[in-house]
Amino acid sequence: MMLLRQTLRLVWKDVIVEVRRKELVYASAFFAGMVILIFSFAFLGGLRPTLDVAAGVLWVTVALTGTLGIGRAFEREREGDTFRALLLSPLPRPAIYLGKLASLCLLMAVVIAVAAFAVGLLFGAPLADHAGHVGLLLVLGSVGFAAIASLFAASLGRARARELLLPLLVYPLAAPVLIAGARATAGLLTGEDPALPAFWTRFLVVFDLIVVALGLWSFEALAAGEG
Amino acid sequence: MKLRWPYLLCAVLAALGLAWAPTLIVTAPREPMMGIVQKIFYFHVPIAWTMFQSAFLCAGGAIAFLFWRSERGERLAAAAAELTVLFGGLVLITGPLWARKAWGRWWEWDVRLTSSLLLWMIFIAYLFARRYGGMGGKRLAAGLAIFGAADVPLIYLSVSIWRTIHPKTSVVPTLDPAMRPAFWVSFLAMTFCYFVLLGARLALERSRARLDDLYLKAEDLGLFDGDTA
Amino acid sequence: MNRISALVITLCLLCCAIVQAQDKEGFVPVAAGENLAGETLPGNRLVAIAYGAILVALIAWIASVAARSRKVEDELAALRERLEKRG
Repeated sequence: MMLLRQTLRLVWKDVIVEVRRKELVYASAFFAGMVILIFSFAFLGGLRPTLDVAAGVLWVTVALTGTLGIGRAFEREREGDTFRALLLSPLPRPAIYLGKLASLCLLMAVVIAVAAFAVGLLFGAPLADHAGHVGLLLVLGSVGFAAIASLFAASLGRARARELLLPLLVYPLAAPVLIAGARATAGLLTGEDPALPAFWTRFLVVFDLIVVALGLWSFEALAAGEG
Repeated sequence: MKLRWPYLLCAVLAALGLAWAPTLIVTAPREPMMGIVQKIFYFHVPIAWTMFQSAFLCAGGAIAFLFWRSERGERLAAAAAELTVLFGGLVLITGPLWARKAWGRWWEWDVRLTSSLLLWMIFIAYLFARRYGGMGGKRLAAGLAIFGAADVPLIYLSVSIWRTIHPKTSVVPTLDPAMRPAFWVSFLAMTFCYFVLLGARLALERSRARLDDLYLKAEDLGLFDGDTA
Repeated sequence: MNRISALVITLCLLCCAIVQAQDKEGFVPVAAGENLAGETLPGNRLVAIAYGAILVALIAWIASVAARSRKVEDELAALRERLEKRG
């Protein structure tokens, strides 16, 4: 209960900071829109792309924007030395990790809303027909992606070339999330194999539990050198 | 490099195995469906198992470094990571060569192949993080190794869990008796070869650590005072 | 959170993942004699390329480690010499 209260307090702190500055939300939402626009230039010139492509575009956008947003969120913490203050505080490490994870998931929720709307509009993907299941997939995907990205973004510290390193570290580890999400979404949109979305959803649940558990286990050791 | 007797023994056994295995492979009976291309199996599978073993060793060293600040663990992790990339690359070369004949295409995006490719990329990212991460790069790389090692059981069990084009793990225990000597000699040769390579790579890491210590000692003695950048 | 219990939980979840994802449909083998996608590459060439690649990669890697070791040893020797001269 104490852990939950501390985690929620940290999430609220991040929400307040973002509401005042609005830097990450606006920039990430705009970036998501731009990425989908670029994909639509690439795919919508000639033949109508398949719904598989729409699903892939959605998840690639989530991955790219998520990395950008999470990297910038931690950079902001480093500039203000607030992450060091958090580590020096008596807050337990799991609360810090879960707090960052939850607030980054909230950021990604905004990105996802913009991306899903843009994909539905530009690619004609019937995402609204499966809003519940697609929403669940996007939430699970955000949790898995943010669990990995926040762990390594926190660990990058004052490493050189950290803007370059973060995607290099995150994408190979987060690839199963993107594969599962894209395949399940494509399965829902095309309706070809009804068992496929359920299978990939279960996969995402288990994967999320494993990466969050590994993240909690290794957060102190990886981020402890910071500050 | 001072050669200790376990490494010498491994080197001798590896050399003997690598010399003997080809003769056994050539004389082993041909698999009726795939023909001669099945002979790639005799090294493809041992190399894949060695890659898994190397990934676990790397993760073990990484855990020792992260939780017990063991520099020896870190050196082991670095050496094992490089070998995981080497053996992973060999798996990704020999596999498609076999697949081209067996399945009619170089690659298939099934679970085992995709997760093997991801494992290889995770350990390449390890080398990037260690090399370019600056201060804290070693810690970052160690974190990657732990997550990467979690991928290994998924790769191994993927063919049993999911519908996949890749042959099942039951191929090895149910191997034709006439094919077993070639397979097991290749496996032992590759394992001993791995430990020899690991020993050589560890020696390089130890030399680098000695060099770093000497630079620190030289700096303390003021050897570089007045040196221009 | 206790590290050991977190690791045990992770391993249990991994086992749950394996159990729940059981798909009993097996691998469908290729029919004997079936000509796959107009295959014309000779099998023995592919085998030769595979073994050649293994040999080349191992030799190249050994050469790379030897070169790096030599560079480090040279640097060590030079630094020791500087230290000895300094006294």
